[in-house]
Amino acid sequence: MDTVLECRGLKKWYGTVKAVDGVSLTATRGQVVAIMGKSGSGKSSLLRNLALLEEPDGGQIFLNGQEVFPDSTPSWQEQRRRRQSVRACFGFVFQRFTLWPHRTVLGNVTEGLRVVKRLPKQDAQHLALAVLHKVKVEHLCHAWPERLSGGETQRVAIARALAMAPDLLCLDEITSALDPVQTAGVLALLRELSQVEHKTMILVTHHLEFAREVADHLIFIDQGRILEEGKPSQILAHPQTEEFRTFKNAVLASS
Amino acid sequence: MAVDYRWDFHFIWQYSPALLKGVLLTLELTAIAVVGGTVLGTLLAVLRTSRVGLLRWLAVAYIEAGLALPLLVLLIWINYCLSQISSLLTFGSFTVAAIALVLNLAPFVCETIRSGFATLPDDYALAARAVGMSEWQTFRRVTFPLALRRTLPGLIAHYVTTLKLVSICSIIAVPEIVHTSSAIISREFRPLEVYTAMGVIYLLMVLPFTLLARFLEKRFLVKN
Repeated sequence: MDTVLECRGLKKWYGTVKAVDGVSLTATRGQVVAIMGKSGSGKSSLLRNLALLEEPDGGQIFLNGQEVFPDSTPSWQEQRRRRQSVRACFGFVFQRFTLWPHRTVLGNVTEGLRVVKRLPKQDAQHLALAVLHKVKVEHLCHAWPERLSGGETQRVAIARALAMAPDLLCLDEITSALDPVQTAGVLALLRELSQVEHKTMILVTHHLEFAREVADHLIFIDQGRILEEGKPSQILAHPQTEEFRTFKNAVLASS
Repeated sequence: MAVDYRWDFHFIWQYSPALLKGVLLTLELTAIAVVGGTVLGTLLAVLRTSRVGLLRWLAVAYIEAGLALPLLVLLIWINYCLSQISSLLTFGSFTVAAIALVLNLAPFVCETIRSGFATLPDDYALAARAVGMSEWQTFRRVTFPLALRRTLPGLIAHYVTTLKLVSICSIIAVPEIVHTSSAIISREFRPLEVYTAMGVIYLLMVLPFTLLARFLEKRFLVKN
């Protein structure tokens, strides 16, 4: 199978706190990997370190079969340049403050195309409109981010990530600030991106039903370590550890 | 009760060339202070985050002193004390005023810029790096424009304060508005009219800046 992303024994420490403590995972092309865990368990750190938005403290990361961390290149300029191109392979969507408030919707999507990919303005706008159409917010292209609802904001953020044609999407709790209706809409969009477009995704989510239906692989993280993983329907039906059982019951009770 | 005081503004017109000179001098000093203070303030803001401990320490020491010292003290000290130290450090009153105003404004600019960056959520920069922008591109395209929008209203307020502080330079005989007015008063013995005219002049000078600040705020201030 075609492996997009693989990490082995990934570590990230903040002082004495082990946010990511030896995590290994694999995402093959078209696969959806869901990550669950209570807040502070290291889910966001894991995503950020995978995309090299932070400097991991240990382990290995392979992107499309190439080792991208640790980077043995001696020149730091070269290292920095390579790191930038690695980051551009990840489409990242965050939970909050995602869109740049000084750019319109269209500007947010074209920014990366113009600055990083150096596309001419016309081409960038053309491409951006097509992606915005795909996520069904084309009509908002001239709106300012402050005017958007939470659901629209996240759709635009997804469009911004998709426009860069990333190898995989990293979605960090992107529905946790949304109301139920908007959440359903965004989850439906993700389902479509997975099932129709076969996008590779790693996403942090607390929606059990969504994970069961869309994810191919589910990982439960506690204190920076993987406690359980496997096929979502299986491990959700039969939690092996007390931590996962408690977590699952808490999610069920709150939804 | 001075109910029967007879106001008479007529004599002021004959001094309008001198007053206009005072206005121009005020604007000139303000412009120098704004340019110099902004450059020095930005430099201080950068030095404050320097990796070199000594530079950082020097910047903080100057900022704290600059925030604490009144302009009046700076003016007198540069004008009288420095010239005692060496004749090389003896300047004309215009130069002294310019130096003091720049030194006085810079720490405020630095603090305003710093808070503009400090209150900016990291996530905007993170999103920029996530699409593959370099550190410089992130700064130029995202962090700087956003911080500037947060900083601008505060900066303009400090610039307006500087314009008004130029009046204090009258004590070292810079022929700006207050100094010119005092000269007029000692000739005409009509302080009430002169001070009233001074008020109108300041109002007319400051008003465009306040309106500009209002406009910029409406146009550029981005809500989150």
